[in-house]
Amino acid sequence: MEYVLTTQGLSKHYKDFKALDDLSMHVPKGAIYGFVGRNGAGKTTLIRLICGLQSPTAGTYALYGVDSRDKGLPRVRRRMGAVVETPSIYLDLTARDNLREQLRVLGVPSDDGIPQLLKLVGLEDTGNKKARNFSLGMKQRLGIAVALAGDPDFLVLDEPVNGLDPQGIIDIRELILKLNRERNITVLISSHILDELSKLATHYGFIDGGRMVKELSARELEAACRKCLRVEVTDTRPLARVLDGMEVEYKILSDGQADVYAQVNISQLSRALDAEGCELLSAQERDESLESYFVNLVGGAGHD
Amino acid sequence: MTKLLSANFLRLRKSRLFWGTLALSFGFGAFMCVIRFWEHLEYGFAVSLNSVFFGFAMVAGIVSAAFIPLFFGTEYSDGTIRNKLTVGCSRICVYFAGLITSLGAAAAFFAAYLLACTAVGIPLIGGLDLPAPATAAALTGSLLMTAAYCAIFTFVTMNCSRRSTSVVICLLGMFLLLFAAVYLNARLEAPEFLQGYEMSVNGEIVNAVPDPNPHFLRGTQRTVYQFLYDLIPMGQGIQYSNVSFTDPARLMGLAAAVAVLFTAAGAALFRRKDLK
Repeated sequence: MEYVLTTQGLSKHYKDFKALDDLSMHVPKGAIYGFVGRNGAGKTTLIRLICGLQSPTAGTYALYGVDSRDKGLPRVRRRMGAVVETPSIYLDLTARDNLREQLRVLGVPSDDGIPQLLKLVGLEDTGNKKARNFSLGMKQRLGIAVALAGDPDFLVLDEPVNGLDPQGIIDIRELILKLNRERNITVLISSHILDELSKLATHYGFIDGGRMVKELSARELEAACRKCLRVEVTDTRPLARVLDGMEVEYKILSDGQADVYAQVNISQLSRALDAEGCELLSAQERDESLESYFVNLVGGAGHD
Repeated sequence: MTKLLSANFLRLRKSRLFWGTLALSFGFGAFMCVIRFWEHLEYGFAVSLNSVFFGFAMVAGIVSAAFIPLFFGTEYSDGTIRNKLTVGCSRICVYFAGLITSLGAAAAFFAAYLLACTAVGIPLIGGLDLPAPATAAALTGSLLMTAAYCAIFTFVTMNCSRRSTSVVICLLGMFLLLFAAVYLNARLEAPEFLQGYEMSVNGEIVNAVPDPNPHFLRGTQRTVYQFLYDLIPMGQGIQYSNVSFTDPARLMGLAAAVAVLFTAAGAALFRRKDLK
């Protein structure tokens, strides 16, 4: 698999506080990578490091395979755009002038792409209005437009929907999906709004206490969180025969435990197992959301 | 670097702060000329453009101390410095682009003041009556002194993450430099002897022998005070504004040294700075 960003043993210490501790992560090309963690887990610190705003205390990262200690890294950075914490825009300039500024920084002499960028983020009608007078959602979209000015193929968004109203959240979500699907931009989004993230992400990384707790794809997460019936039986071999006969999907977990991914009639299942000489000991419905998965993973309220 | 300069100057052109300061500099120059002309009319003082033309050297520090942190502090307060670093601009380039832009802005303010003196001052109070080399030395020296100010205030602004804090530090620092320069000037200007009193003895006026001034600076102490007075930009500003400098090459050398030292230290600190 080709990765846009990888980190190896990345650490960042502020005096005695370990904001990042030996963190390793892998962001696949073309993914929308949801970077999940509670406040203070180290999400923003990681983003600051990969954006070159801070230097790691230990460890390295690689952007498009170029190591952070490599002299070629600044050239590779040209391929990324980022909105770290708050949108980075000049409040006393218009949306158009903000984009002109960023194009100058990037060395793009022509302003031809500005109307297209403004249209992409839905700010084409802002005219001479200064960014200071924009709503939070508009500022956030302008921040994303500035990050997109260099036509990047890796976009880093730190808490992009924080503080937005429901419509603002929907706008940002649709924009991110559009950028990912239509422009094939790899997106790294840090967030603790899990419900929102679950509508976007193709991959997840769960961070806690500066460490990566788990990385998995959305498909793996879906499987882990899938609604199922967990059954306990005396022997899973007859159970498998019965379930095959019923043509339902299942997963054997142990000699006496299995997850059944279908709505089954318990009496019917029990009778069929009885006929095979197997006893149904218990049946429990399981329905894990991203939220409960995260809480289980990082230890829940005990951590707070 | 040229990309960053292009972006900075584009923002400068769009900045109300820049145009406002430029207008103020022009207005200040015109005001000073009108005041001198009024003094001439009211009190009959002989005035010349010399007393006004280099006056910007006195206020260049205050203008820079306010403008630089307000203009470049925006990079921190609006977070836009991140846009530059994220796309691979080197920190050294960001620092130097900031310094060069502030130099450009300060030179523009100086030019606006001189333009006002020329446009308003010459018709009202006549031209300069200084030899050309002295005029050139005062102008070049004033520009170098302004560069020293820019280096000092860029050092503060680029290494302080809060715009309001930068403004306070720069303005406080500026006034400290002003007080230091005024104090040093007063000590250096102190007379060697205090005028003795006069008394009348049997209708005859008798002058007492002048007393040596205990505050008069001598030897190494005088050398150190003079060095400090020449070193700090405000001390140079006083000398340029009243055209009292005796060794312009020394002043220019010291201004250049201050600019180089603060730039080297500022850039080194900025390279290691953790940004948010």
